[in-house]
Amino acid sequence: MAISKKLFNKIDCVKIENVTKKYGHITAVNQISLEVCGGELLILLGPSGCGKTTLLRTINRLVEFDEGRILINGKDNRDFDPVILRKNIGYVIQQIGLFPHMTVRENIGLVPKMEGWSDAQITQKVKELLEIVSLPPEKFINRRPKELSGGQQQRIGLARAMVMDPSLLLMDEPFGALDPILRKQLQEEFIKIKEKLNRTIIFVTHDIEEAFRLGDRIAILKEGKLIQLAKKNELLVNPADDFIADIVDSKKKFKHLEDLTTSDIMIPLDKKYFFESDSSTDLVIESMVRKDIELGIVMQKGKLLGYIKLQDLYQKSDKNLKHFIKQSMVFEPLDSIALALSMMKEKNEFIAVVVEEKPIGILLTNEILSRLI
Amino acid sequence: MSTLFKAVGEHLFLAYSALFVAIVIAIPLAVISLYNRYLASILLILANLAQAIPSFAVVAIVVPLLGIGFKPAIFAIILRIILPLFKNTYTGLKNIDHNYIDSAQGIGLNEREILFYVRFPNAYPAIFAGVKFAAVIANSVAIITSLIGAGGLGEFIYEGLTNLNMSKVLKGAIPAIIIAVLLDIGFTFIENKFTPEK
Ligand SMILES: Nc1ncnc2c1ncn2[C@@H]1O[C@H](COP(=O)(O)OP(=O)(O)OP(=O)(O)O)[C@@H](O)[C@H]1O
Ligand SMILES: [Mg+2]
Repeated sequence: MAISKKLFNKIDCVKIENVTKKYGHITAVNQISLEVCGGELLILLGPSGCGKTTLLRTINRLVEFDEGRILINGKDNRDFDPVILRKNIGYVIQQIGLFPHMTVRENIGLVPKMEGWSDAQITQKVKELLEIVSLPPEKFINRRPKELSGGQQQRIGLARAMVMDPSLLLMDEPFGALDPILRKQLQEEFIKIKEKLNRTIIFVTHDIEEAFRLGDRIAILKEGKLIQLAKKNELLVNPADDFIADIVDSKKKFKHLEDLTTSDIMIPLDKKYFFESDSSTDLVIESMVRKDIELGIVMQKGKLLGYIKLQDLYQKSDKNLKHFIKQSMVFEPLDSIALALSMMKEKNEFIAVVVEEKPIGILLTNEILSRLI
Repeated sequence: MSTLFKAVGEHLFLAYSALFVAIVIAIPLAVISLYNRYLASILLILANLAQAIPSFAVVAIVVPLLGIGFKPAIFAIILRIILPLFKNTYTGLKNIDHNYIDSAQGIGLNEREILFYVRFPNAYPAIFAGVKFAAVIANSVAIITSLIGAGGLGEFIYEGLTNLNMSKVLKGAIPAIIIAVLLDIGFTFIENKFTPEK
């Protein structure tokens, strides 16, 4: 079996030059030029249909473009065999696309198997990747996709994309379909993974919050055209036109820290997040997976006990849910955000609960910070 | 009794060698059609037409072409079942959620790998359904082909019918029914065992 060679050990630069892709009358990507520097996370941001996915897919040649060229470390990506090129570029698709008939191990290990790795090598690599995406390997390695929540599937999708250690990673709205709180949690986790792995990443989203949270630089697209590519602050200070000003405007209203209260910035909680302290851990796990959430609020007789995280529940087998509860800081809806933030920072807390008789919302420190940039 | 066993043997051999040959031809044909749109559309039109032709007519039409006996009978059965087999296999391979193909290409699988590791597993339920359907038809056409001298259980039935010998009719019909029932049970078992639940 031919073992594909590594095309690039490290990305110095991905240079997109005047790339155009037409579908009939529609110009999905229109004369786009941009440069992605090695090690950065570049965001492609823009409304639905503006050509983000199409542009992303020209890089690994899932889309064959009509004009222009793309240079990866100075080499034209059309000079490579497309299959070998794709093995060297991690790709997470918008809809995850795990193969339903394969286990987690088989899904992640499929390309290595084609490359002739031994079973032991594959198992070891899969376990390593599961650790990185915070899924206990023994519990997950033999599951099938339908036995996983959306968030867990998304993690497997990321693990699968990283299995060949690609130095370039393309991610197409990986968190797009997730519940808002879970999305924030995964973003948080992803930032850590990203720092650990130090890859070059091109990341598509149409969520401005997500773009500002994760991106080093942001490219804003509209109707197939690149409107502006800049660092976050520059977008805020110097938007290229009204369209961009509009997009980033939603962030500006958060600039006046002193006027804001916790209820302005909290993420509202609905019924599905609540659990009773006397429930068994296994049932709670099952319920969280089914509801596709990874954070729960634990109550006892109408009183807030604290919060639980799905990841923790997997760590040891213990029927008593109470042993997993973490104390949370509590604020009232009219408390100032500045106060909440400083108290959370002081205690080094990531999560706080906003309570008005009963819990009504969640505060996540990084969420607050990112909104205040 | 020994003539009955012989007839059962002939019947099974006729039906299943035809089924086997038809599968061996239909599956590669379906794979080729996956990459050749013209072949696919022609075969699909034929397959839909073939559905409408009575088995009896297929058997009859073989005689002026190939004469009578065992070989024309096998040929008639293959002719009758190959297109439905093709159609099921082809649609099973073709109708796959595009996301799976997308992610398969995206992670760097080549066409052959996508075919074997993604398309075929996805198509197993459809292929099995096709094989089961073809087996049922092969079983019944193998009765009809006794009329053109292929032997088998049909011979008992037709002889019995012409002589109004009911016990002879039953001697042919009962084993044929038992075979059909066992066939159904057997295929359902295999189907449940080998098609992964989604
Ligand atoms: N295979 C295709 N055939 C025809 N038109 C296409 C194809 N793929 C994309 N398009 C069109 O090209 C344009 C850009 O699509 P694209 O999927 O790149 O947008 P997007 O920015 O990723 O949108 P979303 O945020 O909804 O995913 C759209 O008008 C779309 O309808
Ligand atoms: Mg898209």
